[in-house]
Amino acid sequence: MNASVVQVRGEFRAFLALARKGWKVDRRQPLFMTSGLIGTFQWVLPIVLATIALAGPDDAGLRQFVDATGTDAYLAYSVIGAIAFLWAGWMLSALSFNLRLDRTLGTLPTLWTSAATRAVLTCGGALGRTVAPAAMAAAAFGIAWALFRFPLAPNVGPALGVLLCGGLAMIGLALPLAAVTLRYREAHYLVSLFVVGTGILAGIAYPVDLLPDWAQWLSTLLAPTWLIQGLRAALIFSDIPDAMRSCGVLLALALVYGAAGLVLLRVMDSAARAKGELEWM
Amino acid sequence: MSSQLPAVSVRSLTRVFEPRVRRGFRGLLPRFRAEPAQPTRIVAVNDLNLDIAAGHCFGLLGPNGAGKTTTVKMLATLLEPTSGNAYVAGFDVTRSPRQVRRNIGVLFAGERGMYWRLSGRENLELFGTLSFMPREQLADRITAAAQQFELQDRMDDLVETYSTGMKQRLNLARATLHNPPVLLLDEPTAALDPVAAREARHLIRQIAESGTAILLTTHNLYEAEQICDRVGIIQSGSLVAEGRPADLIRQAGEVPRLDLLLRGDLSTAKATIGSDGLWWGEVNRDGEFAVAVRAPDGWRSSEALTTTLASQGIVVEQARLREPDLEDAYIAITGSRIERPFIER
Repeated sequence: MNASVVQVRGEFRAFLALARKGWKVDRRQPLFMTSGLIGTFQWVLPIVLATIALAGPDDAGLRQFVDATGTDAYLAYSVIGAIAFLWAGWMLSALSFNLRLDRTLGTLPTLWTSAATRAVLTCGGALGRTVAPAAMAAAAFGIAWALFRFPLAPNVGPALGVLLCGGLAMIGLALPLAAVTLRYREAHYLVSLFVVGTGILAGIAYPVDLLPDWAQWLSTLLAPTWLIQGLRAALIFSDIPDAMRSCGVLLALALVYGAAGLVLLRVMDSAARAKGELEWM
Repeated sequence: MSSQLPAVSVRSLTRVFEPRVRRGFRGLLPRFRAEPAQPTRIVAVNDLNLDIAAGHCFGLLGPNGAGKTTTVKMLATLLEPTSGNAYVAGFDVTRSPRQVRRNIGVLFAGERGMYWRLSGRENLELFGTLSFMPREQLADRITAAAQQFELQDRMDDLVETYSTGMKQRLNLARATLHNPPVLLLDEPTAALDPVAAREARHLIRQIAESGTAILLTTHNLYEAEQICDRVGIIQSGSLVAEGRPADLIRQAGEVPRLDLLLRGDLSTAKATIGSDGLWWGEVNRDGEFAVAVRAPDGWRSSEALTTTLASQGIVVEQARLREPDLEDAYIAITGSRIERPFIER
């Protein structure tokens, strides 16, 4: 078999093995899984309750919301926004903090002296660690729907397409962050600020149009914005072309951020090797 | 890689850590900590040269901070050399780090390096896959490694339930699973109890005999003498001696040593032995005192000395002649003040 085919197959198997490892390690921590599920719902509930309170007992307060968003489905609007962002935030955190976690565990030097490429090592284990949050987010969405019974358009296919493109975009966006945390040990504090910032700009429970112009411009560069917009387009507005447009933007962002991330990973890895930062703690 | 070339070849390898001051992202953020992270320039490895042939075990000895781990990190491609060259399995560690990583197995000091929430088998499957081992070979190799490292009964248990010795055996299994031509072992028996350390040494020797080139760092000179074909003593980043253990002992000019346990007047004993012959001495309990004496003529020196001591009223309770070993050579070469424990009682 051609050597490059063997190499690509080896990298792909390494990626899957790391993803399986991430998932196994997570699911062997029952408290993590339980608190994650409860925590997801805890995060959604205040947002939903706030929107219910703002709508008022007879939905009298809805007029302004309808004017701003184009829909009166405020519960679906806020639940989709809150859970989609939480999933996106988890993706970003898991991917960008994974190397930091390996550094803390003492497994970074072992991984970093294996034959697999840095990109595979960075993304594989991290992706496995996003499985549990995805399951928790799905469960929390189900619980919220069971409790509040908000109407949803039955566009499951386009919604799954948006989620898939959103996942790829999150990987792309997280790669530069992972690269920075590899080089700078304390950078994960700033990454947390960035992740929360993307939530503010993504319009969790409000339309992005309400933000100042400069913030709206920034929000167009961030994947969570398009993820939430695409899901709302599919599940609330039944606007499939808009959902597809979001998919297109998400894929473009995945490519741009991913390419930048790979270059940055190479630069940061080289810098970390030069400075002697690739070690346990 | 040509069979004529050494598996590891290091030429003028140097690593310098320059002083640096921590600033939040190059001064963009307020300096919460302006204290230097590393105030002085450190030459961790200085002009290091060594060769390791396939099937040989090379021991790098030296005190803490001598540059042993830094050397391993450079050979493992985790750290860039400041200058010089290092070739592992024929590949330059700076220019071809990926090819180097495909040809090495690495074990770092301490028992970390594996996922404790995975079983031994899952860890080996993961790291075997990361070494691109074909799926069909991997299962067989894991079974063979489990037997070789005596882990077959615990392979499906989580690593967090393993003893320190088992973790280290699993680490060795992980590092050797893909049959790398070069193995880098950083203090592989540190933190192991004597029985586990002996097992690990036996396994390392087996691995070397199977044709793998091994670079091993250790503080344990007995270990180096037992399993290394050649040793190098590194001090302040520089290799100060290198050769077969027996050659180093000879080079160091060490003579046999007579360990005596005496009873009587210490100052009389010291005067009888003379300052040239007295190595060191200490008072034990119950009025006994221990001395170590140079005995260039072996037991002949011993008999003459004990007769003289007895005539001075000094009782010789115990006497043991000990041939010089690598530890003596190490102490002589590094100028260390560390002394060996006296007669085991």
